[in-house]
Amino acid sequence: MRTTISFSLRQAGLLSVLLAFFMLQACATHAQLRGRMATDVRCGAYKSADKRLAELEGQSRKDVLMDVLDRAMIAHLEGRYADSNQLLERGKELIEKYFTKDISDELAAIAWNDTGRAWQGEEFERIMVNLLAAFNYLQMGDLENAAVEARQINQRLQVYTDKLKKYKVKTSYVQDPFAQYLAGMIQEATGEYSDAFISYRDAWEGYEQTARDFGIPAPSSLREALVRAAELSENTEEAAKYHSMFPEIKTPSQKFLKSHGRLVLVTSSGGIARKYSAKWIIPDPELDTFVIYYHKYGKGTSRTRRIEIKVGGKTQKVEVAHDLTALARKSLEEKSGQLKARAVAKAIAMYAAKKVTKTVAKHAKNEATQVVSILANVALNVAELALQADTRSWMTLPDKLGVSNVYLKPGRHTAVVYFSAEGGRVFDRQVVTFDIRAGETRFLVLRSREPHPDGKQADPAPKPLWNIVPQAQQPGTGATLSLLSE
Amino acid sequence: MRRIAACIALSVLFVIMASGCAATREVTRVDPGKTTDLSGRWNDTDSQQVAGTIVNDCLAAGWLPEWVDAHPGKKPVVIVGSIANKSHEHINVQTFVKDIQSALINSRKVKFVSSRDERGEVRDERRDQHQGYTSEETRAGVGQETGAAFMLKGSLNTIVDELEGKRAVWYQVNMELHDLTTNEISWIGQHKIKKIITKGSSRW
Repeated sequence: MRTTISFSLRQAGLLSVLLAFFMLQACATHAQLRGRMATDVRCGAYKSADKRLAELEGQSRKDVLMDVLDRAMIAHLEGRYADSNQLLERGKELIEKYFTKDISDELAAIAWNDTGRAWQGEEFERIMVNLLAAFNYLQMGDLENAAVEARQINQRLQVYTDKLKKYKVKTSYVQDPFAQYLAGMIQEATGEYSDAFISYRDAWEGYEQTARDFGIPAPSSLREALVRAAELSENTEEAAKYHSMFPEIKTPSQKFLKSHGRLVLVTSSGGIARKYSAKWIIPDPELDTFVIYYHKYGKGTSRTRRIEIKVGGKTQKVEVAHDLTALARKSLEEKSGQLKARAVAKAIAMYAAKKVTKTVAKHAKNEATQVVSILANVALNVAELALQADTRSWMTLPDKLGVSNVYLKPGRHTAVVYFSAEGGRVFDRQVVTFDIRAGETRFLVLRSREPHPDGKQADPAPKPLWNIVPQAQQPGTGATLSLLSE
Repeated sequence: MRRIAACIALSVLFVIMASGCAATREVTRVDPGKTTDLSGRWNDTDSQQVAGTIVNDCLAAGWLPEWVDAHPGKKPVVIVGSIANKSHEHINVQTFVKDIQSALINSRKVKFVSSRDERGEVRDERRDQHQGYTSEETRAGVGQETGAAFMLKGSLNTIVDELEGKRAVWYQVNMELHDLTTNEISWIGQHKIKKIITKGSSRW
């Protein structure tokens, strides 16, 4: 039995719309699920985030790095720091692997869609891999390995700036001042004062740029750190230079530093802005459309407006030290010329191909040619809708990072960290009891747990592991006897 | 004819499936002494090579004959202290410490005592032997530990230079031998390894 298939252009249009609808539905579900997972992370619903991520994992081999980094973030927030670091090492290996371009992926990305290429993350996201690993080591009380991450951050940024210089590329992301500030604090805590001074100085220079570009000036504690590290490394010339630059800064005496401990609180809050695919449609007189897709960032999602730490009888505000959303938006903005040129080229090619298939279908002399042309037109319409911009990103990153330094008398202290929303309403309070010794620096890394839009209860905040190793067995790294977090 | 074609097709399919299965994982046993540079990072070969060279240099230096002359018929007692990882890599320094210990013991030129962590476990065992469960003849004596005269300690550093897929890594291991009685540094040595790692820019 022989069946003749007959299509009209109108029916073909309807079919293409239906096919595109189902394709986009699948993509939207995938993106929505990842978005919900990121919301769970922002709001402290880590178990729920874990389950949602399990549904996403393995769906696309091009998203492996994204899956690994999201899983590492969840493990970090659940207090499984060693697991998180194992995943981050896997992430670093993938980033290394992706340096070698897969030509078939690149061709797919040029001809079709950027999602045909394995997701490699933006430069600031790759630096965040090292930062998160450093956070994990700090929570484990392992300063030596945290310092390794600090060196990797400096090295990665050096390679990146060399590359920018070589190709004469101008970008706002030249230095990552927060990463360098943290690297400096870790180096100072391990007694590497000269390296700490260099990191602080690079951080200061980086903050001069972020103050201009994003309105994020250097935290006031960095000024003191610069002078302190210059003095500790016996660099009298630099110490005098920064003393005269910051006459208002009174650095503690060597005697004070030796007789007090220092708590460094690093906070992260909110969720980084999400990318979405925007489009620009120009209809022609024949009602065909010329569609250009491009990326855009939304606003960062954060309810956190103020963070304070109360410890040792003092209440201190946590200063914003890094705005990841602003950085992500600026990065994309600076690349937009190149990305838009590619999107326009693809749109022109698509528009021309649609016109050709439509004309061939209209003037086809036999049914077979007509059917083939119509099917080609259907395929092109579907393809056009799949030409969405690549909206993949590391969604579980926070919106902002903050830092605060407190000098404390040796002994036991209880620190209470308050996360407040607009109007000063405290929505999250985390309590940590710890012991600190004279001359030692302790790091505490906390993330806010914002109210969940679905009313889900937040899981417990993770506990740092410094208290696991008894003081006697870990000389030099300090120890705590008890540590509680609510 | 059709049957033959079907047989050929099935055989081809079988071969493809079988080769596909075989490609999933392959394990090859190699000589532990063989150099296996995979990622370019610090590995077992580097650890053994540096430990061997450093210990040879240390034992060939002037402090040893001087000490032996001053203490006829005795061997100096050495302990390995901390080796700080100041590199760009997460290196398991304990493996390197073990390689140094084994090179020192095998040299037979010095005596070697357990490190601070190991001592705790040994002391626990000795304490247990004195709880009344162990016969007097086989009990280890108390207060007879051998004290070290020297401590070997150091650091592992790296300098990395990298540009577009080419990376030069310079490992430098610095070691010092401290006289525990006088605080004098009796010997300083270092060993360097340089590696060039090249990454391909494209693959299919």
